[in-house]
Amino acid sequence: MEFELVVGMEIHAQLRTKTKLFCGCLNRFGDAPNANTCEVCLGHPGVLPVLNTAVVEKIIKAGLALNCSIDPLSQFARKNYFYPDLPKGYQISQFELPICSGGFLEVTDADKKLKKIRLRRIHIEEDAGKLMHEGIKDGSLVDFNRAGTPLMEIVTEPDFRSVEEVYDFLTQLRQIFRYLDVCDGNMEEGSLRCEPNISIRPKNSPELGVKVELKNINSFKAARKGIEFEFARQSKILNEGEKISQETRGWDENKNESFLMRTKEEAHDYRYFPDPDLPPLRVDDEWIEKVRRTMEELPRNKKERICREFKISDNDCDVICSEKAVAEFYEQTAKACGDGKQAANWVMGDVLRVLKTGGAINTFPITPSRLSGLIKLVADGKLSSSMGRQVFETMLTSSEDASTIMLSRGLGIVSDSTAIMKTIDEVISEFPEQVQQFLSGKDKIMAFLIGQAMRKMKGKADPTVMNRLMKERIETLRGKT
Amino acid sequence: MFDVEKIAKLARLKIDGDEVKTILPQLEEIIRYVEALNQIDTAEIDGYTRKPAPSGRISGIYAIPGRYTRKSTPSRRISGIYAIPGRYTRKSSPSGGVGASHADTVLRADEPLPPTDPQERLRLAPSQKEGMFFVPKVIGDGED
Amino acid sequence: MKNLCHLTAYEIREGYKNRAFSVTDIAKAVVAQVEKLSPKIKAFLYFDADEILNRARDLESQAQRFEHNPMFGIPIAVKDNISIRGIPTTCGSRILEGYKPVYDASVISSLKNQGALIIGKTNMDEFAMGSSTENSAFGPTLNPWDLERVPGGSSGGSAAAVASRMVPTALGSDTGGSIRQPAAFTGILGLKCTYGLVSRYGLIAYASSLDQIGPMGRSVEDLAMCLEAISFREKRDSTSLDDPLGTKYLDNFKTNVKGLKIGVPKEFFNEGINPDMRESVYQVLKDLEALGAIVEEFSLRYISCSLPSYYIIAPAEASSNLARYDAIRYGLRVPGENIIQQYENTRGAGFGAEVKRRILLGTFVLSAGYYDAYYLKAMKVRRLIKNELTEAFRKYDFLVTPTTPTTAFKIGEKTQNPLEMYLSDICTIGVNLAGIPAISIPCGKIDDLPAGVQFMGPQFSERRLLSLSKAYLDATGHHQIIPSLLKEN
Repeated sequence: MEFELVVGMEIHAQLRTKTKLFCGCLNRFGDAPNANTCEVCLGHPGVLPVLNTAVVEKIIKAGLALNCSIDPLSQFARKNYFYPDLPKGYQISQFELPICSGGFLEVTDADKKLKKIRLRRIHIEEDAGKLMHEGIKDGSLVDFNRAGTPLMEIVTEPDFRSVEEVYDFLTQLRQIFRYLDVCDGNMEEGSLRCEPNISIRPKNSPELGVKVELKNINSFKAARKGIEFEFARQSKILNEGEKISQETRGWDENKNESFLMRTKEEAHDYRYFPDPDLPPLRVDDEWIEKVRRTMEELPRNKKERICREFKISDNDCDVICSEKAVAEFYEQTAKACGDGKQAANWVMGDVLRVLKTGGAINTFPITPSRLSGLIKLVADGKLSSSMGRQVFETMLTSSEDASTIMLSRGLGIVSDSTAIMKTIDEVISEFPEQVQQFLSGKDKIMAFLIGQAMRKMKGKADPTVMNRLMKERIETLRGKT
Repeated sequence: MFDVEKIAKLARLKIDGDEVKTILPQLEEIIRYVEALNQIDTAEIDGYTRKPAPSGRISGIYAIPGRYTRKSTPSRRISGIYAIPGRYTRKSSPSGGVGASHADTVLRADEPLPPTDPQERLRLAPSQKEGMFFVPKVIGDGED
Repeated sequence: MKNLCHLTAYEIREGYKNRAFSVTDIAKAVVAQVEKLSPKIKAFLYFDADEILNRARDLESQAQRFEHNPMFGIPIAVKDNISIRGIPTTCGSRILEGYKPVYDASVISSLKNQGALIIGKTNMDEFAMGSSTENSAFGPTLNPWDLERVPGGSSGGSAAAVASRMVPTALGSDTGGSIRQPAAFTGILGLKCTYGLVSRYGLIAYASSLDQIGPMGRSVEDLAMCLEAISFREKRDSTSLDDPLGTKYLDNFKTNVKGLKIGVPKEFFNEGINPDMRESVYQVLKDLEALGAIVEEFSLRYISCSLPSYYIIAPAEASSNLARYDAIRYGLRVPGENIIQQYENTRGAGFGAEVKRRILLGTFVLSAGYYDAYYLKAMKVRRLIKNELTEAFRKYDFLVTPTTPTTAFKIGEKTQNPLEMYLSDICTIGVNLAGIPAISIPCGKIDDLPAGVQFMGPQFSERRLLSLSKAYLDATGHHQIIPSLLKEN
């Protein structure tokens, strides 16, 4: 039987704020264990939560970017369960009344058509601490630095029908989050976590199948593999006439298979109820408008604008805008040098090439203004493109501007007719055979002769002048022979 | 009706056989007593059940009467248990916020507090190792 | 000189101003009284005489700094569910035996900043769950009026400490009557404020939407002094509120009762209330009429739902608040082979019977399949109760009721049946559900045991409640009663 894949996603994104969700501890990775804790996030007796305004702003941004309704009234709820990384024995989350609902993101499906993936909701919740099991005898160790850090949970409708859609969705989501400075979007580091809910059904069946939740997905690749594995596993079960059990399964990246974690019967009873320590969260139109007005440009808007303003191709734009920092670098360069196409060539061709070997764009040794200086020299004809590349290489380790380097090394284009003519004469005397060949009709030899002259001048001759003078000189020779 | 063992497990409480014998009738009596509330008609308070809100719509206790969209600000008073009062003055009594509180949204600036010594808190731990809290073998898994 | 311990806080303050005595004199008197009466009354769980005397000396040397603070040098005992940094805080429970908080509760910071003389931690029902202080893991406190009777609960230790003149003032906490009921049982005054007026940061939570810290003392002025020191908008507590009229209570009494409308809900005067108690409160009403108040009987239809509603909501919140006691970051640890066993062993050994009952009850009413019928229903009924009281205050300035159905009962009298114990809160509980303020003040004696009357007011009516109390007590002198135990002391 042929089955259709149906996937819904639950995504957790760590929000980039300075401090935690309900206390003033640093929201920072990499410090000594338990360095960023206080009595509040450790759940000491008598402590109380106070909401971080930056968290609300970031969620509003994300909600606006994803076309959600921002609900004017949302409520925090306690999700109660026992686990050593959960200090209070409950997680403060949002249940009945999340801050955002609805929304969508358009993805490209397997047939290259655009389709909407609908979102169900986005809500705020706190993260738990970290348990360490490796190498610990008879137990585990808990580090609460991460406890209380803010998370955004996004739940989609089960609209995905292929892994391509999932991949596109996650890629776009990550890009949007990075553009808005809402989240790093790094699955390997855990700042973006996703849990697909996977079910299958016979093609054209209107009912949804039994869904299986897949956890422990640590990369986009794992998401793809996990979903594909589940599709195969579930198809096999149904084809054998068995039923799929509603389960929570874990993904094993080493074995490339999923394993049972929890059956439906063992599911937790979280006993959600509204958190009495937190008043309802009111977000008024004024606040939403302020965020809308001041929020960073969305990827699609930046791309569309850059394409239009700087008149570069769609593909080039895609490359340039895939990372916001690169797009901003490009934009500054293009504005400064006034030539969008050239700026695109240099950024994509040279800057990105160097970055591939390491480093980040915001610490790139050549600033947009210095780069634009170089681009202008080439565009104005003062520097040939090959010399330009030499200057570029030099600029990577020197803080001088392009013009200074060009002049001090004498790399500039030579337009002086006398100098060029002198070289042309040298070439003509060195290659009499080729000259004859040209004069007897082999037009293509001109390129060879020009090439030799250029080589003698180390590529610095102005090609237009060179061409003109070479023709002139050879014509005079024609007269003589 | 009252499965003491199941509830005790949920609450991670150890209740031995004898304790169960004493506690069960007491709990059943209390539950019978509080069930008197079933006689009270609470229809005038908006009802809701514990389902996640359907997309785009707020229902139930927090319901703001009348339609609202991202554009409109609800201008009518919110009813129900968690009603947020409109402006209140010395004369009018607010109708109440969460539980008994009349507090409206309270926010804190995203500014870090001065750092403190984690040792202060680690010292309280019944068992610690290498700057972390030690727990015995963890079985079961975390939240879903 | 009158035994310094019999002075009210206000009188001590006057004494400091007149240099009649020093902070050290007062501290010594307190220490002597506590040491003398503690073996009989057992009010304190933590008391360190040296610390107190040292603090007194420090305060004296800085007297200039606290010139304008009414609470300077005033001895105040603190219920053991309020965190004081570095000092054992047990909540009356074995699960926190030895636990020393790393921070001060807001009210404590404030009192310290105002130069108050903090006197130890008082005994209480475990995690504030109880009405007699018999649920303390460390043994009950006894009522100074009759050592075979309970002082009430859960702030029994604080009440007994004040009533026995160990301290003039004490902090208690009130979730369903835990300040007012012990105040009534021990013949002193106790105030539960508008929910949100006193910060809960540092109050070890029992039921978050109901808990409030409040002052206990022997005079209205003392309550006012204390209240001024502890009521302020706290940024670490999201449920904290500002009193729109500001926080000056002490010099703000308006004791003209003429024309005030007093509502008397008849549901508080039925067979559930001891006839002598009813009589006492009728007398209070007559006294208020004599002062010019207009007294009128009316009905509160939903008030009888307070107890069932409370005994769903409070245990539910408690079951969640007490989940943090898991032997990982602090407190008792009873080891197990794995984490689940450690949880179960620790919580099984660390929590007493009443706490376990309420945790189980709370877990049950929140669990899948029962939430709507119990918790949600109780929250809706709570709303009805609150709305009804709000309505009542449109018509009446205050409501007057008995604080308790009876005077102090005997130790062990109600411990066999939890429900019977719960019923002793029947008059006080509605107030917490609605978040309104209420005060209990002495209104005479019944068979040599103190009786208390309760005045309730609308939100933020603390000033007026204190004024009404002052008018009544000035006219009747009932706050001057002294337990016979002390007449020899």
